[in-house]
Amino acid sequence: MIPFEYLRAGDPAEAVAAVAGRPGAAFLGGGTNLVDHMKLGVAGPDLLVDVSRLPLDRVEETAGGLRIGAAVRNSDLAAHPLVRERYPVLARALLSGASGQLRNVATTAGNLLQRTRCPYFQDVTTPCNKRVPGSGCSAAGGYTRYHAILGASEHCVATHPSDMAVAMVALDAVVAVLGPGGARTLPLAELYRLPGDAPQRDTVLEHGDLIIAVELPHLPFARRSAYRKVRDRASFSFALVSVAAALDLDGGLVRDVRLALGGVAHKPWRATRAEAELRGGPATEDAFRRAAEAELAAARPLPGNAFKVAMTRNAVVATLRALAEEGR
Amino acid sequence: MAERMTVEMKVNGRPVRAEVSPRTSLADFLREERRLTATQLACEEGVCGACTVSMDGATVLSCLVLAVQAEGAEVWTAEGLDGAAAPLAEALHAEHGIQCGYCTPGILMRGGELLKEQPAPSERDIRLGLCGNLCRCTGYAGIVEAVAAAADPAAAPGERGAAPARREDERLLAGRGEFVNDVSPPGTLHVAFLRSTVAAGRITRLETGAARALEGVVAVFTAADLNPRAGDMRPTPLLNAAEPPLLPLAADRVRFAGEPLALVVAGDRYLAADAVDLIEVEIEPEPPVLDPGGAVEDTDRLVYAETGSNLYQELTSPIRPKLRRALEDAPQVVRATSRQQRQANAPLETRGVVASYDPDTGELVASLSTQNPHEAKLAISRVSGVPAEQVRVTARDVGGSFGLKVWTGRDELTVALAARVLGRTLKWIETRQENLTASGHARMDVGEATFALDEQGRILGCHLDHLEDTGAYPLGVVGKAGPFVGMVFTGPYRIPLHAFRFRSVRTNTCPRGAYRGPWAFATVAREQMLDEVARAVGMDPLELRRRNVLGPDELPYTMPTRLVLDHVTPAQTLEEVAARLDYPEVRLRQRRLLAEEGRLIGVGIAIGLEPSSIGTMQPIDRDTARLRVELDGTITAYLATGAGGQGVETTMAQVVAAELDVDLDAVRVVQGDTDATPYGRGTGASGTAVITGSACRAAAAELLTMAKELAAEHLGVPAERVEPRRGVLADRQDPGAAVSWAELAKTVSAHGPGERLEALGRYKAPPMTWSNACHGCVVEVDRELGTVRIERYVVAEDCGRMINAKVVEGQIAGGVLQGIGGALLEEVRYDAQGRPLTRGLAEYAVPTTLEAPAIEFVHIETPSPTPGGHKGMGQGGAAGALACVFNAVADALAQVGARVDRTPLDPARILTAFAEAGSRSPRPAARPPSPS
Ligand SMILES: Cc1cc2nc3c(=O)[nH]c(=O)nc-3n(C[C@H](O)[C@H](O)[C@H](O)COP(=O)(O)OP(=O)(O)OC[C@H]3O[C@@H](n4cnc5c(N)ncnc54)[C@H](O)[C@@H]3O)c2cc1C
Ligand code: SF4
Ligand code: FES
Ligand code: FES
Repeated sequence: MIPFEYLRAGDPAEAVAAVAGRPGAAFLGGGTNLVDHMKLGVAGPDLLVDVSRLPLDRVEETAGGLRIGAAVRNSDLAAHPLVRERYPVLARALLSGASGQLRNVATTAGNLLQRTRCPYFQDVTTPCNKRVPGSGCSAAGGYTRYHAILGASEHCVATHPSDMAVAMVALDAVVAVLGPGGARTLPLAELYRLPGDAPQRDTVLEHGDLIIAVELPHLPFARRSAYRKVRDRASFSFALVSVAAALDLDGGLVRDVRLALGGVAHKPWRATRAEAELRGGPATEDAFRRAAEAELAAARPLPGNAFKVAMTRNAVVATLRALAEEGR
Repeated sequence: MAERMTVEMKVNGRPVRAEVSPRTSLADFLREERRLTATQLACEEGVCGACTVSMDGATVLSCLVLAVQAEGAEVWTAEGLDGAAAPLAEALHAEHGIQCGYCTPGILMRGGELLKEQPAPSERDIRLGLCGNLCRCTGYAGIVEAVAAAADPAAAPGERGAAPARREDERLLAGRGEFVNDVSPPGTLHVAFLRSTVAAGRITRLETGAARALEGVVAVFTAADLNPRAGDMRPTPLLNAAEPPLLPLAADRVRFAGEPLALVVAGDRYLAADAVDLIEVEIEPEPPVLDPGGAVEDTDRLVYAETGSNLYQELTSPIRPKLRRALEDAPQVVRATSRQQRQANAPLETRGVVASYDPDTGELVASLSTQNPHEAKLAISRVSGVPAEQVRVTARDVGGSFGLKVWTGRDELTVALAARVLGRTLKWIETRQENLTASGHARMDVGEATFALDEQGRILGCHLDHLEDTGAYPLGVVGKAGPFVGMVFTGPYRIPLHAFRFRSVRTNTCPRGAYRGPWAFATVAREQMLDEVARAVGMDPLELRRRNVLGPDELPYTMPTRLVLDHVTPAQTLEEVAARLDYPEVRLRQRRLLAEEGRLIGVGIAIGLEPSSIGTMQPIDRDTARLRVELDGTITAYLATGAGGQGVETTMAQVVAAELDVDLDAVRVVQGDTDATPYGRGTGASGTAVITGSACRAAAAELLTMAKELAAEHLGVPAERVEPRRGVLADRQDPGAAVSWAELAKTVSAHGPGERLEALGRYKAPPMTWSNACHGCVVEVDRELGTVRIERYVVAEDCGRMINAKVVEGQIAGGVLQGIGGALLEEVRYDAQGRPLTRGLAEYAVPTTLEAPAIEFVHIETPSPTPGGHKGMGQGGAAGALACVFNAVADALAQVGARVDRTPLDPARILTAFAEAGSRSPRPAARPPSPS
């Protein structure tokens, strides 16, 4: 790990100024992703500005929704009574990620901004466009078990590993950002980018942009929501595929639905096509399958991950079916 | 370089103020600066939980937290708990929730938090709560039970009397275990290796100037510095093999990604790693040899050009005409294939060495993580040129090994040599990445077999073609273990005719080493194939086994390879498992659930035979024990073994105590120090109970002979009348007349300074001591997601007389979970260019609490003909479970026409098998709506 300086910021503005003023600086949340990457030589900031102790550690009730401070720890968020009551999908997504000890440290903002990655990204001895733009993509013709089937480019086929973000994208979360130019908000779904020809950038944030909170809107039917994660082992494993869903039923019909997928793309993938297919239609197994297939029509599996198409379809069907049964 | 910063925090209740570099992890701060070494490091990437400490009331992973992040925090480590007295610690001790102890401090921290948050946790809560703490030894059973017992002492199972608790535990629970990384003599320098990232190629440039110039770097060694000074690095069993030499560092060619190229010595490990990054290396890559099947014939691409072939070993037993006829003309002939993926031992503690050479005395002292201190001493002497009498090896606690640390590795030996050259103290602790790419891999086997059967399903004969991938060079006993697979392939079955071909081939991959049952493939391949045979001939796999398994009246039985099988109970264990599982009922339920709910249940059975304590496996076929009576009357047993989790300090003390009829507490075991103990085999190859146990018995017998004579003199009666009785030597005919061990010891010591009442006992193992077991399990495969859940797991085993039932069950449970890992999760992967993809425990998916089933045990105790009637059983659990779980999943899949012939059976492979079945046969019935 290359040596660096460490600064504990006193307030958000100071943190923003400290990072914005130095090209090699980075914010430090819990450090569970950044410090790991520094050890691997994947990241090499020369200044860490610790934002984990900023007074951004509260979960506040808003009009029917919640405002989650950027420094709220994953374990506290998962255990929060209002989260469990109003957004079970979020609590379950959080609990399906990492381990208890990691969740005790990981912050809300850090979780959102953990790097989109693949095994080659983490191995500095191999070419990787995301790590070293223009160096090539080792996954092309290489190992692609964990890689994307949707929205990838020839330059990068990595996936975003967060579980929490998949749930938040399904819930129409909005991110509050304080940047060198002032404060702004943007929908979480728009925070993330597809790789295109600039896979080095995971998000649209600029250097010095500090996430200060995530806002979850009022969404009463999210009380009936679920998160399902398919993975090799039941802890410590990133999703091969995951599904976040909330279902609003009107008798046998789907009044409204939220659906997002993890492990399939460079970003948490909001399944808008499937949602459109489902809205107003019957809540049946066949309809769920057709909706999943509509979303997956654009899938371009790689040699090593063809299984993901069926796995995603089946996971969507199983998740919606369970929610529908719960509602009967 | 960035400035050092002042941090202040409270550690275990005491205020602490120190200067640190911002990059120092909290773990290193605690271990290196504060010398609080209970907190262990096993992955340094947040996966294993060994480094768990408590910070401001919540557990965190101290490997991923920077010391500066803990500024102002209140930190607690395992040393700050109430040692062995805390309720959770007591429960871990009582429930045998500890083996090597490397994971224990982390379990104590996390378990404590769990109990605080959930005072009455369910089993599921406990498993969820602890799923961030990996344990490679116990299979988690004892740990989960311990947390439950700590929460509710009344609910703890009562029947523990038969199995004394382990004496190793006290120091491990108090955080006072001494693993090699805990050894840090003053002046210790730190070693890091530069390793090849290329699988095969020519080194064209290696420039170390910048690394040497870095402040704090003491030396940088390359092949030119060390190779000419190195003696033979190969392990004892391979010393005389004709093959290319093994040298400390790659000189002009590299043969696998991970091969060491240079060694840096620096003031601390961060600096050593910095210096490694400064070495400039260029390797001209060549196409690597990766596919073992193709490598056999390949004469263009060679791992070693000078050998002309990649074939390392070949052994063929002839197919006699009778067998050939059977294989061609039998009423039923079935071919089957079994492929095992590359696996890793992945002990929680990686390899490591601290070696000091004192040029003035000419003595080399090394602390090692090893299963075999005396062989380590000989190897270090050979390689460094320091005479064996001047080499001392110590190995206090060893954090798991499972075969990896039987023979001293190339890297440890290189470090010892470098210490000799520099005349300093060098420490090398293997990183997890090195452990998974450069220490040793295992189980890369392919078997193709043909079975001939009559109309009734009786096996007439079989042939096995076995190909093993040995990697870039073989490690240790492996070169000799391969042919053994064919030798014991017919196992516990009545198979009159058998022949095999064994081939071992070199590839540009990490060398193959020993892993818990180096010949496990005999069991794995046979048992997987028998299920395939059963499906092919349309017979239930239990029925097929019943028709062919050897019954009690058929023993002793001479296998086609002339090995003699006796004192085993395969048929009984099979029936025990069938009864426990309620086999006919499971089959009915399986059909009903498929028909009514579309669910896929599977049943798997595997019978394993474990060749233990093998008398032909020099030099680990024998052992020596020394017993000494101390002046206070206690007995010290000096053994060549080490503390690697098997509980040797407990079981061997039990043996000695029973032989001498003294209190267990009066016996102490000293091991893991070549200066204090006689030469011996260490632990491994399932040999401790039989070989070391018998050496202890021989020593005890010798000691008794001497003691009886002394006592006879004392009591004025003939020696034949003296017997040991509850801690004294007594006159058989006069219960009142007795002399204590202390008095006898004093009598002897009066003969002169240094005189002691002591005796040496030796034992050499007979050709083979077999133990046997049958594993059975029921699984459910999720038809949509391809995941597997183990519903039940039963083991019926016969390891002869058990010294300690809890230790036996612990060994089996640990092996079973490793087998489950191999069947479902674990795989070491390379990509098409031979680049390692499995560089950490995130990728190498060692099972967690959530994958570990509760295991139901049945013990049958058929004594072996060795002195204590024991049989070795340390390894068989892994082999049995690999086959049993595979068979259960394959059984489930077969119901819908899906087939698998290799492990691991992860969701991707299972869904792929479904998809292939779907394209072959009509689509499996859509899942009917679930009953509501
Ligand atoms: C072994 C292991 C297993 C894991 N398994 C899972 C899993 O199964 N599912 C899952 O979802 N995750 C998993 N994770 C990832 C884990 O959830 C993330 O590492 C964690 O959430 C990151 O949070 P942090 O606060 O530690 O972020 P940090 O590491 O501190 O930061 C991550 C990034 O965010 C930036 N950042 C931090 N805070 C801010 C802010 N306020 N504004 C702007 N930028 C900021 C940092 O500069 C950095 O680039 C796993 C991690 C490990 C180590
Ligand atoms: S997929 Fe993306 S992250 Fe992975 S190697 Fe290619 S460019 Fe790098
Ligand atoms: S060493 Fe910290 S989690 Fe493994
Ligand atoms: S006892 Fe848990 S790793 Fe050894």
